[in-house]
Amino acid sequence: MTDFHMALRALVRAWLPIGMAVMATGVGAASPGLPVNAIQASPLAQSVTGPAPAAVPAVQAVANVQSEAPMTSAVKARWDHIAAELRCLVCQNESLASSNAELAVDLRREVRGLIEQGQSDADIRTFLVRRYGDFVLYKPEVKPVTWLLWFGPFVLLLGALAVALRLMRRSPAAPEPLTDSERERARQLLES
Amino acid sequence: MSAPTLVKPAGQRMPRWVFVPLALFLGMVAFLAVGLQRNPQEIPSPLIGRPAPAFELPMVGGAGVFSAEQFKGQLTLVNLWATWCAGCKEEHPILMALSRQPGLNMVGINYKELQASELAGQDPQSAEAVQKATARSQAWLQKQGQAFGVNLLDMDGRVGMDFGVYGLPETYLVDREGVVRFKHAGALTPDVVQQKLLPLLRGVD
Amino acid sequence: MWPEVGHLALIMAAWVALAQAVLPLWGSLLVQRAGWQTLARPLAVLQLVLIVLAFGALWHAFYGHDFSVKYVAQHSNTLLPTPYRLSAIWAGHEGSLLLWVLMLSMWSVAVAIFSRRLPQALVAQVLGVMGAVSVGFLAFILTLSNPFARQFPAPAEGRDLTPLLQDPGLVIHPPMLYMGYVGLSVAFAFAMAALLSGRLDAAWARWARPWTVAAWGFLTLGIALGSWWAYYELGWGGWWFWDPVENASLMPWLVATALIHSLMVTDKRGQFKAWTVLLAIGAFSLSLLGTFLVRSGVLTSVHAFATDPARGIFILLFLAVVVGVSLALFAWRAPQWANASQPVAGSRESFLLLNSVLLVVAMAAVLLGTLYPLIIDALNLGKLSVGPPYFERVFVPLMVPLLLAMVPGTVVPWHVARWAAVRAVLVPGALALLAASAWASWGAAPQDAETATTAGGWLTVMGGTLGGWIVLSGAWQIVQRLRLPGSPGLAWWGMHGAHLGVAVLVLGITGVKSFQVERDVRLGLGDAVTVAGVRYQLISVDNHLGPNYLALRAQMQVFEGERMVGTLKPEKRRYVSSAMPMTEAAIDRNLWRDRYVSLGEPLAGEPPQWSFRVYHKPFVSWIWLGAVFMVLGGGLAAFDRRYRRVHGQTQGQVHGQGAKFASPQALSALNAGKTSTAAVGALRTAVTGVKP
Repeated sequence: MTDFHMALRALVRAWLPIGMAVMATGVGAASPGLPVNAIQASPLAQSVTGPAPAAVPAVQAVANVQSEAPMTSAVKARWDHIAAELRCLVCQNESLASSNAELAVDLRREVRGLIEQGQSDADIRTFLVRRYGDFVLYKPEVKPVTWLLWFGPFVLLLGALAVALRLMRRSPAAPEPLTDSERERARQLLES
Repeated sequence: MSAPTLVKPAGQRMPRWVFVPLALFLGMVAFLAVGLQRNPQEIPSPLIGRPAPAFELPMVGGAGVFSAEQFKGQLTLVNLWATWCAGCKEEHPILMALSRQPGLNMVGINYKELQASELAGQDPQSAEAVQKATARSQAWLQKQGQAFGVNLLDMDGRVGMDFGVYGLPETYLVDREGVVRFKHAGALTPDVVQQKLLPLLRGVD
Repeated sequence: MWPEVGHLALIMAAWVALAQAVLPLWGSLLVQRAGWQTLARPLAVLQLVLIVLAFGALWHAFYGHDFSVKYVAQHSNTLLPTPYRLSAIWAGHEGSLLLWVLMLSMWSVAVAIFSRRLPQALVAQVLGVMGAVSVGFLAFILTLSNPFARQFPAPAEGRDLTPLLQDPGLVIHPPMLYMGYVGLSVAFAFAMAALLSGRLDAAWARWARPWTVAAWGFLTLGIALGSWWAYYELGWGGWWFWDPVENASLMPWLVATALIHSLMVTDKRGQFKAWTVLLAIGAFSLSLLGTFLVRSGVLTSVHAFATDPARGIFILLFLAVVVGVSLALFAWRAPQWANASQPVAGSRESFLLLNSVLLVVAMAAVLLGTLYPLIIDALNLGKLSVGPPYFERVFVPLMVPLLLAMVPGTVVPWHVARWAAVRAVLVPGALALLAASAWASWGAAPQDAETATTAGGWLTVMGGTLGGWIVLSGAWQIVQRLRLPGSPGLAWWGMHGAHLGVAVLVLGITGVKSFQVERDVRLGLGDAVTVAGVRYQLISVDNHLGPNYLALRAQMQVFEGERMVGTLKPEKRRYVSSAMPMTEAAIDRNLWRDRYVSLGEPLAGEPPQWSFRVYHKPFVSWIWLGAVFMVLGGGLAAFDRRYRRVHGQTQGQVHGQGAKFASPQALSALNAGKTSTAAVGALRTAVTGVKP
């Protein structure tokens, strides 16, 4: 390994404790987002005298804390069933169940409350659609504007099968008689 | 080598089915072209043309309670905002300008001023939390400008959810019957105000 | 300096690609200049050299932390571990396009090398078409997506690779996937060569087959890797979300599967010519469509690259031109190929026709679901979402008849129906049904205190029967065949391997969906939870420092009864430059089940507790094992000697081989003027080389 590579490695390793210090600052500030600028303006650009041990902060202090009671299994079963059909509105295509966005957390709490009140799945869907529109449902309702979506593939299948069946025959076709040129060529091949 | 073969075979009938793939493809391209001009993340509000959701919220500074009933009889611009929202700061001058429009009531709803990470499990409706949010809300408006005739605190975000809020800031126009006529998600820009909001204001009058 | 060298290399590559596109096509279609046709191969090699140079220059910039290159600053920083520094090249839009053109030039050179005995005109046309595609992509890179763009002043630190992508899966999944997408351009180029020259026969199909199977294999591998990666990386145990970008990889796969089967018919029977060409165009078009969907911003997806309207317009225009021209050519040429196919119901051709129909309809369903929100929005009819509930309800019913047809399709002969063959294979079917019923009744995990474990239902029976039938009948066929003299070729083994892979995949999906158990719990130190008969006890939670992250790590011990069988260490990581916490699930894998634990958030209150999600996922590994079998099967099939033997023959020799089907009796019948069906058939075979 060349000196260049060794120097590169040493340099990378030296950034580690600096990285810890940066993390401690960022994590301790508990801000919703660590701005990119903080990285670019960090003291990483300056020279390092030596690895300085930084106190490792307790990550728990800053994580989103939950204080709600766990769901009963009946509620959980209903929750699993409906949450997969609901969309997180502020995410890049995620379901309500798996998203960590704050609005998703709020909506989860709301839906859980509705389940515990005994509202049906349809009621819950109506609740959300009234506020957010059809966008919030991953399973589109079957109404005229979605008929093509729900029935299209099966209509297409039936049509394609009908065409395919029409193309098929019952028994193998009798081959056409040989043309003269084919006959001649066959003679050549057989006699060669 | 045989003769060049780009000459069309003579006397061929062209059955129509051969054009189906091409036609379907071009149709799809047309839709994609239109789709390029749309924003798939933008959610139109289902409230448009329907009455604003019923609610009751305390006014900031303890001056009483505001209910959705009070929308009736006046033209209102409802703006959902928070001090931690960068876009709210950007659009505030526009709100200040709009507040000078005669006959337009400005109602600000301070949505979830204390976010979940800051609350850390505390009840958002507790006196302590409300006090903290009030102080921040007032200080911010003091600095940025008092655009709102009425400023309300939505501590747990329930009212915002009833409005269908999915990101801050959001602005609604509610007419004299309490019906929502317009929604804009994101910071207001001069273009949006000129092209969409002002014509509506004139129309409603 | 090196970024500028790379940039220059790309510019030169674009000109070389233009020459590779224009000269060989001109020299084989418009005029007949052998000199221009022979230029195709060296130009392809030159293009590869230049693109490798450009790729190397970008690699060098990443390795050396050259943050003056904007793309490097956006996707890496000094703390990023070395492997991810290099694989970050394809993490963003510009670099991934460079990977695309690199793969395209690699496939072109592969075609140039492994086509020694193909007719020169055909090679020229194939490489010419691939060169044309390359011109489009290089033009796109140079005008709108230049990875070598500089920024001054150079920042001292880069932004970092998204933590989600800092994983071995990132290193391998995009290259494999792109090998598949781009490999389909070879089949497309063969199709275009046929359309341009008007020449399409059994030999063409035989030459195109190994390339298509190879591309299909890579695509299968790429999709499987993506699914596996999502499973262990995202922390919620899901492995397919019907996200638009996932669908964009599934659609070409479905059509490519139909294509390899349709090519089989064109090769062996000279039928389905127009349909095969259309499938070849379709498969690559869907690859291009996928490229468009990911980069244009028309659909929302976690996979989408940062978007820019100008880029979307360019790709759409490119897509419209490439596919529009090929479909117009198809409309022109297809009528002359269309009339020959009349498969006999119950013959192998008819089953393969059914295969094509079902796969294409499935693709259409996925396409419809993926684009429907856009269509409705474009028509100003509102905004709706189409997600997993829709796709599962529509796709699964379409797959059932396909799986059902797989077994009869492999036992019936060509050309004629023989229902006796199907009757023979019903016995394994009955056995599979019995086994699946038993599985559904008794396959559930042990009951837990609080979880209602799912028992299998009729879906379990159906999935189990379909998968089991394929496995058992495959085994039966292999046993029968091995009793006969002679050994079947690699392609035959490949087919069984791939079909076995499909069966294993189906069984895996059925198993995990029927019997999966999930528990959300809160545990303090020393607490335990029992899931599916296994006890998970939380021993400790502490902090752990990684190269560029800080993690909260839990240690759980797993007990079967009283015996400790393992330790799981799920983590929650916070990376240096991202506030988003990443979940690193802990998975205990074996062939029969995964035990999957992910660490959630710490909970308020004393004593300290943490939320955990524990999964028992039976048969989930079979999903990826099945994909591996499919890839291996495809690999075997691509290397069958049949294809390589053809490479040593001229077209005339292929046809002359038919002479061995003729016999002295046929000669005397010919002399006597008698023309029985058998004699005519045999003689025609002799003349045309195509078996009836």
